[in-house]
Amino acid sequence: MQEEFIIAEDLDLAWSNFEPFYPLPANSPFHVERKGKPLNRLKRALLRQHRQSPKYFFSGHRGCGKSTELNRLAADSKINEKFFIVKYSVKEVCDVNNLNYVDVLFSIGAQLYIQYIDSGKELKPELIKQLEGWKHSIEKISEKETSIEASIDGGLRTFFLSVLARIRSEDTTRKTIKEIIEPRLSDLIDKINLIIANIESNEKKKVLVLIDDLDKPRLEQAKEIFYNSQTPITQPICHIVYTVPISIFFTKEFTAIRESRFFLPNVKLHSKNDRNSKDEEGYGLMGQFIFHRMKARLIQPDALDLAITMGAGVFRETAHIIQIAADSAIENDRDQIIEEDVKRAEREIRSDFRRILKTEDYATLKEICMDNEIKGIDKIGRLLHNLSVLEYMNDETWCDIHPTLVELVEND
Amino acid sequence: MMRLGAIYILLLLSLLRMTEIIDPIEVRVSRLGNYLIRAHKYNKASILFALYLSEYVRADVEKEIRQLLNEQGLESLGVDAGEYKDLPSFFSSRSAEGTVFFVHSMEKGFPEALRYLNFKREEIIDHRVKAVFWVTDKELTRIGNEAPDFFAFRNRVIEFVEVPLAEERRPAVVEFALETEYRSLDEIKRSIKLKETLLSELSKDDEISGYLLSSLGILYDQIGSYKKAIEFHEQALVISKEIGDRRGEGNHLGNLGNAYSHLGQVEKAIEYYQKALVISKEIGDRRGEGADLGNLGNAYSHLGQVEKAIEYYEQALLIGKEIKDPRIINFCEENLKSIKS
Repeated sequence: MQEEFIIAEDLDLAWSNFEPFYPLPANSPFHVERKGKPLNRLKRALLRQHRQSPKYFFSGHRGCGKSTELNRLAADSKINEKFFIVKYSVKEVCDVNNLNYVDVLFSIGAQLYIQYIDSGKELKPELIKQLEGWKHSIEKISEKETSIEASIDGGLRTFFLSVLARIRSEDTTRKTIKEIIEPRLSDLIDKINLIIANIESNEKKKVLVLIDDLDKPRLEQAKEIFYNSQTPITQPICHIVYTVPISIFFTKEFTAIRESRFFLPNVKLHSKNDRNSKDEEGYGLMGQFIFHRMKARLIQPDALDLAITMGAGVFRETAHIIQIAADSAIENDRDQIIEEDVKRAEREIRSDFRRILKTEDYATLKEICMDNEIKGIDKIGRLLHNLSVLEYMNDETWCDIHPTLVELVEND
Repeated sequence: MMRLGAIYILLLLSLLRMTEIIDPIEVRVSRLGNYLIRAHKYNKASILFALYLSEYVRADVEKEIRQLLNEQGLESLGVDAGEYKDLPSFFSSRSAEGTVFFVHSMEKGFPEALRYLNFKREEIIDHRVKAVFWVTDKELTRIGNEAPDFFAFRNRVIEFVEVPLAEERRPAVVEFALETEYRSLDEIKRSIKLKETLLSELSKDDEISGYLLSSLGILYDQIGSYKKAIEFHEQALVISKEIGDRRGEGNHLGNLGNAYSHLGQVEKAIEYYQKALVISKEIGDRRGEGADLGNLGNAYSHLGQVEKAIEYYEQALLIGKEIKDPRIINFCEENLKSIKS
């Protein structure tokens, strides 16, 4: 939601441009194209003809650009030619803290209806009637089984919104609405599929649902959804792209077939088992990322190199480092970031890690630091999640510890 | 503003976290202030953490920053996290463009506050909220672990870990002096350095000196410098005797026992444990008694006197169960298991 994209001529604006919070909208000049365009594989898969609408699972490290890439996908002209796109974040419509597959399915139905109606389109009267009937049946049970006044006069849109609101509200209410919907799940799926069929026949396009931030729930809940409820969440007859937490994406319990998995890797900066090697392509890409946001003269070359190294090939981490370094340079009345500024950022990030790492983590980190092998996803799931361990991919998948931690682990 | 630097001693606790360079407090105050002012200029959200030890320092620093902000036409609003657990909603309802929130009492809002922050972090960003979260080390660790998505959105963590020189500093210093649980060798060594510095600054009759001596003894023991450990425990013992602190005396005797035992002088260790046991019984310190008995069990086990060891472990276990102390219970049960197998 950055309004302006101007390459910074001074550190003050650079500081602002490296705000690490926002995924980029499609067509932002700040965007850099990764080598091999990793999202193209997903795009090609979506554009292919399928007998049954496929479901895809998309993962990557926190801050590696997942939301940015999904934004781009949703704005892609070829994708828009073929699909009516419904994109939303579960964080906006569900309580991510208490999420199960019922919420996911209901949110799909609700978003399909709401986004279609809000785009000024109409569904067939027969379908509206069926949906009204379903709405009444839910409301009736809801009134009977709970003392909650469920009469919702505002029509279907209000109904969907109010159920979503109840799903987001406090535990007791949420349980009831889930309890009502869960045994009637086939009804819900049926209605979702009717809406999909109606939209597809109206628009002469397929329906594509992109669900962002499904990698945000607590691990146990994500496991419940992606391990145990894979069948129900693949029931809707439209194309769906789910985001999946990285810590379960590589586990053996996650059984989605290889063809349906897409991973947005971190940018590789050195090769496996050789921290001193320098992957020129990776450094080039991260350099581009930086220079799309500020003029090259605002940072000394050795400071740039160090910033890229410490950013670990993760875009948000790199932005965070440059922002702290810019802040430090401004504080010291410099108009250029020097190595000392980046070192300050490095120290700050390292001490943040020290606060969240547990004693037993250090042994694991040390092992990974030494041989870059992934041993037991259970052991490192938490570390992947907090970015102290990062995964890279070329011919094989390997991992390394966050570069700010190398000093800490080696001196331990 | 220079006033701040003058009345605090910087305990250099930051050293524990390897922040090698510690800028003067006024530099850090303006760092925080300027960050917020710049965020306002570019209409950005800011999630800043200010780490602190002493409430007095917190109040003073906050006052300074508020004044800085005020000069720039920004308003400040204090928020009690215990009162408003759903902080993102609170921010949204109050956020006018020029408001900076200072959040305190985080722990009172746990764990709900953590949930709200983690799952509504986008709301904070979307509303361009500028907030400074005052946190202790412990609170920040919990935020990092239990609200990781929110923590990943932090802009900066700025440390204000000095303590005031006046009488008010006492609780914070005492807490620091007693702290002996660190995670790594590195941290232990830094803590030793700081504690020795602080010790040299205090007068001998200070009760904090006693805490520091004892804690240094334990830390040296942890890193294998047993003779040094013994020196410190003996000094601590002298102070306890002087001020008639029987419980402290018992503790120091037990610690001396441990150090001698680690040195391999098990008979000497037993002597100290016995003396400690007498005091624990005398003052009715059940936990101390349990610990002393457990230590005796260990010592006899080292000497190969299995039956005697079992006897002591069992006595200790009985007390552990009686006072429901899981540390004693686990210690005894595990040792009994391994000694009998």
